[in-house]
Amino acid sequence: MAAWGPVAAMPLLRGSRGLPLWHCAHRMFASQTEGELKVTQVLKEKFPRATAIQVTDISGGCGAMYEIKIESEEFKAKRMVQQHQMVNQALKEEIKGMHGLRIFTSVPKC
Amino acid sequence: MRLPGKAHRYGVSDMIGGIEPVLSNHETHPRAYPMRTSSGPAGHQGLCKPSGGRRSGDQRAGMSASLSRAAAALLRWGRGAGGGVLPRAGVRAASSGGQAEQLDALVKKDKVVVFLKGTPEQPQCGFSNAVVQILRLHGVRDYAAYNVLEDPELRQGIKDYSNWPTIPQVYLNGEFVGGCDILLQMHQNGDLVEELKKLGIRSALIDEKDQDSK
Repeated sequence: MAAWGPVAAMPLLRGSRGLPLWHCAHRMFASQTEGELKVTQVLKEKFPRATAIQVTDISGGCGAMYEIKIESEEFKAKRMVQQHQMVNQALKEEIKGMHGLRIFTSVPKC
Repeated sequence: MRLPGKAHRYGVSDMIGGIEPVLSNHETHPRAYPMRTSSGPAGHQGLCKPSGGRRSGDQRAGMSASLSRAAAALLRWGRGAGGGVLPRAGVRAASSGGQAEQLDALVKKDKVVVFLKGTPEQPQCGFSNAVVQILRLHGVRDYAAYNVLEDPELRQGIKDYSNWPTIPQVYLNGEFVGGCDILLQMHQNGDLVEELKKLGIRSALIDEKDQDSK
C-alpha cells in the first residue's frame, strides 16, 4: 500500500526532477542491459515468428522490473489474457527473479 | 503506513487517468514512475500484504456455513459490506476436481465476477483498488466480489483454476479476462466497453463520449 502513497513517491519524483534530461539521454544511448538481453533472447527462442520484440528495464537499473512489447502472429485470434499467459509461460524461469512485469502484445497487420 | 481510504482511492484514480500518456507515447521516456500493473507471485505478494484482520466474528463464523447457505450469502456490491466466501468445510472435503467444479459454478453465477484482496469498499491492495475503480468508471455496480483474504483455499484455488498467478482476477460471463493490468489495457483501448455491451451492460463512459461529442 505504501507504494501508492505520495510519501513513497517523493524520492522517485525528486530523482526524476533532479536529473530528467540526463536520465533520458542515458537511456537513449545506452545499450541493452544484461537482463534485457537475456529476456529478449528467451522470447526470440520461444516466439520464433515474432516480428518485433522490445524489452525495457523499468526498474531504474536494478533489473527487477521489465516492460515487454512483443508482436507475433502467434497471438492471432487469442484473447489478451491468453496472449499474456503465453508470454508468462515463456518467461516462467525469468519471472521468478522479477518484482514486476508489464506485457503488451499485438498481432502484426497483414 | 496505510493512507485514508478516500485519499488512497483518489490517488489510484489519478494514476489511472494519468497513465494514458505513458501508454500512448511509446517513443517518449515516461517521466512518472511506471505503474506496477503486473507482477510475479513474489512481488505481488510483497506489495499486497493484508492488514490485520478487522472482520467481525459473525463474518468469520460464516466461513463454516454449508454450501447452500454460502450460496445464499453471496454478496453483491450495494447489498451489504464484504465479499462472499466459499465454505471452508466444503472446500476442504472436496477433491481437486470438486474444487474446480465449485469455482466454475462460482464464476458463472454472475455476469461480472471479481476476486479481490479486500472488498470493493475497502480494497487491501492497489491492484484490487484499481480494478474496483475501473468498474466504477464504467458504472458497473452490480457485480459479485469475493475477498480472497478471508479464505486461503479460495486464494490459491482461483489461481490454479485460471492458471494466473496474481490477484485480482476478473471474469466476464464466466470467462477469465485477466488481472489489473489487462483490465486497464482493455479500459484504455475500448475493449472493455465492447465486452460489457456483449453482456447487456451499457458502460457509463459511452454517455460521457456522447456528451463530449455534442
